[in-house]
Amino acid sequence: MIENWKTILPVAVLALLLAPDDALRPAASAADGGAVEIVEVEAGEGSFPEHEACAYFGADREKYIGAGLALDWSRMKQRAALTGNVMQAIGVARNPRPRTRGDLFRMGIDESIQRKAAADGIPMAELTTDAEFLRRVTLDLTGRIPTPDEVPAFLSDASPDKRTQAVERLLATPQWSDRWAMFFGDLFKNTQRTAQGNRYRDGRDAFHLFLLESLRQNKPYDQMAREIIAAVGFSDGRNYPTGFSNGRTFAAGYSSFAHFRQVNNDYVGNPVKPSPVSYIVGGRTPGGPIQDTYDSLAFFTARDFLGLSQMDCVLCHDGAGRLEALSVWAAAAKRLEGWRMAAFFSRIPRYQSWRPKVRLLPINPANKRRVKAYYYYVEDIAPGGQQRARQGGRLVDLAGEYLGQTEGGNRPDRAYDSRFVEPEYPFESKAKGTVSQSLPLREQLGLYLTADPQFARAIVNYIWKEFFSRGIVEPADQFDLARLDPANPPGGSWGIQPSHPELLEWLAVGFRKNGYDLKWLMREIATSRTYQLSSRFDGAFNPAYERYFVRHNVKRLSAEQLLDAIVAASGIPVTYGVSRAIPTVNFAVQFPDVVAMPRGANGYHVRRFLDAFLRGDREETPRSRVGSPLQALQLMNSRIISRHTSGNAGALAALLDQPDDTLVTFLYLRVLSRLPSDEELSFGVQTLGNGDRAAQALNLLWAMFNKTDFYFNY
Amino acid sequence: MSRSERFEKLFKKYPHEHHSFFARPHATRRQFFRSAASGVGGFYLANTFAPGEARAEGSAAPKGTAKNVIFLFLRGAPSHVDTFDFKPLSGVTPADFAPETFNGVTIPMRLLGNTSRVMDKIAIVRSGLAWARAHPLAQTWMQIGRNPTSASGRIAPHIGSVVAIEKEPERRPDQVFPTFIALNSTSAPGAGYFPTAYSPFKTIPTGEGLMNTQHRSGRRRFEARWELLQQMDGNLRGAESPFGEQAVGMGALYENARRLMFNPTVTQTFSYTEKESARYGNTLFGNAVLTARKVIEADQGTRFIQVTSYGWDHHGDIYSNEPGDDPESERNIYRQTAEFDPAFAALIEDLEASGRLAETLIVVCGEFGRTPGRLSNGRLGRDHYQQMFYVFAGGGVKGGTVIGATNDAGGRGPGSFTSEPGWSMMRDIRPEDIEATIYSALGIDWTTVRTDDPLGRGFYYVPLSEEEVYAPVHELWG
Repeated sequence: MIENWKTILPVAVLALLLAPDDALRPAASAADGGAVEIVEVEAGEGSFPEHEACAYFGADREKYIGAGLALDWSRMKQRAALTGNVMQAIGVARNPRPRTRGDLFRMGIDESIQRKAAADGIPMAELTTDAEFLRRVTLDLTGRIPTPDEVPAFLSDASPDKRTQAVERLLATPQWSDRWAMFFGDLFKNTQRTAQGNRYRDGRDAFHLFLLESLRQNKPYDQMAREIIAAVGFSDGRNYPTGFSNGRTFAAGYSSFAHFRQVNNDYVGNPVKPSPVSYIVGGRTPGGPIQDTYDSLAFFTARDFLGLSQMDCVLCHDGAGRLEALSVWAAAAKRLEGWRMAAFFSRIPRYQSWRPKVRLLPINPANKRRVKAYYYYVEDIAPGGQQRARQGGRLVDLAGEYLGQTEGGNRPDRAYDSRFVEPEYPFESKAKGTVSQSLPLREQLGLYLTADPQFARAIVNYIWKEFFSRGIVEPADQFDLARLDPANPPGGSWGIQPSHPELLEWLAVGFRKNGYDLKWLMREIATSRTYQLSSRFDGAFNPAYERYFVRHNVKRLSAEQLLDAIVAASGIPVTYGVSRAIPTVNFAVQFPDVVAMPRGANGYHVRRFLDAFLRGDREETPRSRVGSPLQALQLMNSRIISRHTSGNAGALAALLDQPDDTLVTFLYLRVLSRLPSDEELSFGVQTLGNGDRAAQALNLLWAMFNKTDFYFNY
Repeated sequence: MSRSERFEKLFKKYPHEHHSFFARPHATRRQFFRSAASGVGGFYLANTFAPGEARAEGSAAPKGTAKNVIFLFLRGAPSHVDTFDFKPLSGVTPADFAPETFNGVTIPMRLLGNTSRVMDKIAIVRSGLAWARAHPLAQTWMQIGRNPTSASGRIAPHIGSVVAIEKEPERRPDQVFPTFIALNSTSAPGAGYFPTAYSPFKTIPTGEGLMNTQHRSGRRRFEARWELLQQMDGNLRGAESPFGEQAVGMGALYENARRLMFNPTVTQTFSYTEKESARYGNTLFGNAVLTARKVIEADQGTRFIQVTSYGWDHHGDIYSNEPGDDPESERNIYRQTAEFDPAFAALIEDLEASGRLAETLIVVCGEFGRTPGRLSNGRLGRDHYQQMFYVFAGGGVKGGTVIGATNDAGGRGPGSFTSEPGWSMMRDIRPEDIEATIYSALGIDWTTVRTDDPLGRGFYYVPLSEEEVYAPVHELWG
């Protein structure tokens, strides 16, 4: 519907409807109405910070309480009448949702942030504008920029809770699942090939599909974690019937090899399906005893689910005498505790589970090529069913128990005073004493781990960091368990580790009470006033303010976000080849991997573009948001940019027959997700009239792709 | 008490140990622009350390005979007994290896025929011993010169980043290349806790100039677009950007990028002819080595170049020279040395011809060695083994030197263990010693301890361990 009015609307009406940001400030300050509640709470304590630059927070604050709200409401009504008329005229329904409450700034997040800033006398930035908010929240929740339709619709929407509504709408989109599948792929380091081993494409894709499916169903995060930790079965999720041996011979019950293939290897009917088994496969640690692999899995689970990456240190040596400078918890941690956690993985047999299997699939009818399927089969052997094998002439245990005495390998020799290490969850867990000992060990571990208060804290902090560029605990994977409770300080020169301990706890408890619902968590964050603060800051910004979250941190769009924004804004669609299981996707955020994606020679320039923007490798190199001249060269000169600033196709070609001001306005809407200011509009119109109009329009588009407010999420 | 005093007091009372990026030592705006404008290697948020302030005094006298380093990293671990510690074994070593001896050093001509031309220029260390036998661990170990899983290993920069931060003050304003370049090294470690400005500049040479330094619609159109961009962005990218330091920095990097565009020095350095490429073997590795040579000869501020060669992990069919179905199984010692050998020899000869060999230290090694003696049962390959070689050339190192020797004690066969360390420390030569050697060659005091590390315990350029004192192998200088 909105697509239509773009073409029929006279420019004058358009200008009214799409008035520049400044004219919309009253509507935006509806959000300030929400802030009043908080000011009232704080007022009683008389501790609100002075802020010279803003009367609202300054000495005249009293007169704004209440009055501000009334003022905003009256102006908003005018605005609503105005835009409402226009909307009716062009057939756009007013938002039907009842106005039950204003945009809500939850006390949990905002009270904590404001109280600390006030106590330490740190000034706060103002609220961000509507256009900035929409672009920010769309990028953060879905990885995309808003569509050109969404921006004017949002700006002209007069409902006081429109920001909350926008958050709800974005949480329900399929793009939300895509974007967070990329996040969890990074977190769980799902990549095809590591230096330790190869998950193979099918295995990696199956894990990606598992993450995607879990997000689409909004599966509770604790359930997701338990499924990953206790994963069993084929790493590619295919359903291989028993009877298969090695792809060359066939089992009894089949009349011929062709029959076997027909029944079991149906390429079309036996596709890769969601499976988290590749997480376990990634633990493979060659060059040492199998306990090295179990240790790796203990380290991965501690890092990914508990934010305790110092578990890696502890699995080599006790913390005492080594980790005092790093962490109070780690300094007291014992290597034996690490072994006890690792022992939960010790029922996975090495030679079955970490040796890849190959089987021939029949000729693919699509391209007439015979394909091989590579996969792993991960299972737990029964208790007591220790597997033994000869190694160097000695009979050694390979699985079933965690051997306490080993030599060589990747970690120092194990010299426990008994032959086996018994599994025992080394941290606090509400599940202790309630877990049935007859369950498979990894299921037991999943129950202990997800009932550990640290489990919720870790993910809440990881996700907080994704929104704010900084964790409440930082670095987000180096929690110090002994420095979390403000009532129980560790003493010495150590402070409490979280910048806002009560907020971390509030989020973690809320997350748990709301059924480990990721959408609940993101809703709380995105509708908070704290998240909606402007990235602009009056006066000097002391870098030490950063841990107060008093200003929104500007961050460069991630590699995939930037590419997808260029594709979406230009209106020139792209199809990327990915893999056998996921043949094609249209946006980079949908890739199952960050290495060698997209596939094939055609993807060369896309890969170089994405690599220049530092997407990491999900192994040793983390994703990074820093900039480099290579990035500027990409945005100015790469084949990607030249392709998407081509005049023959895409949105620009369709806009060329519009009047100058419409063309400029829509370019700003499409690329920068905002309206041009008066100066920008007139400069754009002037530019179009300066020589070849089509060429100048392309120049404008090129310049927008290189603008600071394009490649930053601000 | 003013607000800022109160704030200071609070921070003294509650120090936070893990400094955020912003809380680390900060550059002034002037310093920032100086470093961010220093060529293609700049990054925004680039901080410059004043070396004298951040360093505790060291005492050792480095050699200082080299200006640059080219580090050829053979990833996957080459077999030492088939290459630079050649130990022919009857019934195992293929007959076509055709070994020949040059001044007492025997090499298989089939694999290292080109290298035989430069035997008088290279120094071989045979008493090398890796710490680990797992690839990623040992690879990172080699490149950062310490245990990656140790506390300091987690924050440690690449050796090249240490070189970059040390050599930053020597840059001339007209130099446009980054101090540390990593070719074909997408998985090399980065700058650790150092500012991103000292990260490796990673690129894969294509021979067609540095990628994206030309504008597809031509230079005139580009200039017009650039002008438009400056006007449209207004103060968003200027020194007063309301978005803060990141946006300021990115604006500065655009200026850098622009200086690289339509720049004949850049284009010539990152281009090569078919004939040049052929001399280096016309492979991905060869082309990168060729580019490394050109970068050194361009003298544009680059001091450390890493080139990575992949595919040395020959667990199976190490001697099978038959093309197979699976490209991965085609990796064997013939293919690998065919890639390495012509490039290595041409690099030394060409640097010699241009007079740069004397000032450029070339270092060749893998992350460990491979099992000596008979091939593994079943797979006919060689597995992970800690005994390893290092090869050096140029930069003041005395050619024709051999340091250390191995014997066959231990039963695996010749090349099993060090029988003669061959240097003053009288022990195996570790990756940390190689790190110290590189620093010494470049005139960097390898005993330096920086005091700017986030752990607050001092960052040792070469680690101190309870067991060992590491030292440069100065015997290489003869």
